[in-house]
Amino acid sequence: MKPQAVDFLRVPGLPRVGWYVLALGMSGLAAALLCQAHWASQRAAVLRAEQQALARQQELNAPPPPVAPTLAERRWQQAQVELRRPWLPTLRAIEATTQDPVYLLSLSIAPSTGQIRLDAEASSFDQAVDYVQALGSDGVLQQAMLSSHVELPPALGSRPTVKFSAIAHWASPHPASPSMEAGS
Amino acid sequence: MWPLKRIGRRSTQECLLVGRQAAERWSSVNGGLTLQDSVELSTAVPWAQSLASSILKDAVRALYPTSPSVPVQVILESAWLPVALLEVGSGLLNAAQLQTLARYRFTQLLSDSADPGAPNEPLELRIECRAGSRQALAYALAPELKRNFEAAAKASNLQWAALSPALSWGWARLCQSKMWPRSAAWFIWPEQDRTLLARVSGEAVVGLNPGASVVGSATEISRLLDAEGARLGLEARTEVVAAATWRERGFDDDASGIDTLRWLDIRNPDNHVQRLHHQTRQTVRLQAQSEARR
Repeated sequence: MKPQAVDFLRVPGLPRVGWYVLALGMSGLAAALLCQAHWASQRAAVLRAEQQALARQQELNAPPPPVAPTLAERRWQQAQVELRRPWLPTLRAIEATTQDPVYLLSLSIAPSTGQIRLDAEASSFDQAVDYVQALGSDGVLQQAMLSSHVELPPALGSRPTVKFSAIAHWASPHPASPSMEAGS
Repeated sequence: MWPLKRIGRRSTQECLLVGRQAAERWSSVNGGLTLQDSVELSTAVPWAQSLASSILKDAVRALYPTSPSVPVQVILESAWLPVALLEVGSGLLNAAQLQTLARYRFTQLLSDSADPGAPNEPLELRIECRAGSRQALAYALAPELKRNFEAAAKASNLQWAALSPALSWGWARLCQSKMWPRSAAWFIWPEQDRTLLARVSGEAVVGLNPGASVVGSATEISRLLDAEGARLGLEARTEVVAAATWRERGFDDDASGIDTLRWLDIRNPDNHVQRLHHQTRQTVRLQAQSEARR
């Protein structure tokens, strides 16, 4: 801008053009802020509508809420757990394995853990070992192991005895299919 | 040329130049100023009394016996309207702070003045300062002087268009001309009793010697520039110098040893001064021939 001569007859002040430019600038700024607010509200409305549509779609696709089981159903489910425990196969396997000269003295089964503890006696330690190995051979009992043994001196006129303890676990029951449950 | 500018150039312009020694009436037709008349002002009396109401009224009445068709622009030289360059430092000063600084500076200047008639009323100030610049150019007008001018205008049935400091008026007038050197680093403004030497940077004055002695030739200008350059630590002769003049300069004055000196005619800033020299020599030759024939 070219310099203007100082004039002592004019009161110095802001040029009128400056006020017009300032007003124009303020108007532009206000208009820009209004437009920004308007567009932001429009964008928010569109986003809200999209989120609502997505929520509705998710509701339609969501699986039905699980129905609380009745008392009979709960009892039936508990019974199924019990029925799936392999009591009979375990007892059959133990009965089939326990043959002379091995005699079963005691048997305890913990159904919650599936642990089976046997106390038996045999004529020799080798027989005891064979017995324990035979327990786990058919797959009904697993992890059969000889936990302890003691050799007793033979009494007068009797044969030598080895008393031993064995621990095994029954195989974990498979969850029954609905058809199997209905059949059983 | 823009049509409006052509119209402006054709318009009549009236200027009243008031210096320490004389008041001059300049008027223009088609852009160039011409001296119409001048009235001597007494320099024997103190400062404030030289332009007392009666003296000013008489001078204005003598210069303007009839009212001109256009308002008159009053141009006051720094003898009556002092100018000072203020160092404001690197901090930002508000208007009130600048006013205080300027008032303090002018009080110091006028209290040291050889003329004992320093004004008692607070001076009216105009300060040119851009925010962030280290210098500010300040002008001070005594309220009594302003009232005297208003009274003189009323007495002569005149209308003042503006009341401007001579340096500011000349700077604005010459900066707008096509002859103004864009890379000017020095601006020399002549007044009746002194010369003002300003160091300029773009459109701002960054250095000022408001009381240099009157220079009449390029040789004197070169001496002045050397002194000012030595004071500021600059090599003034290598920089572009714009020297304003109210009168034509002779050819001898152009052989100054300053290659970067550019004369600017205040009367008609767009005229090349060399062309004026040629016209002057032709006019002198014609006058001599006509006198010889007589």
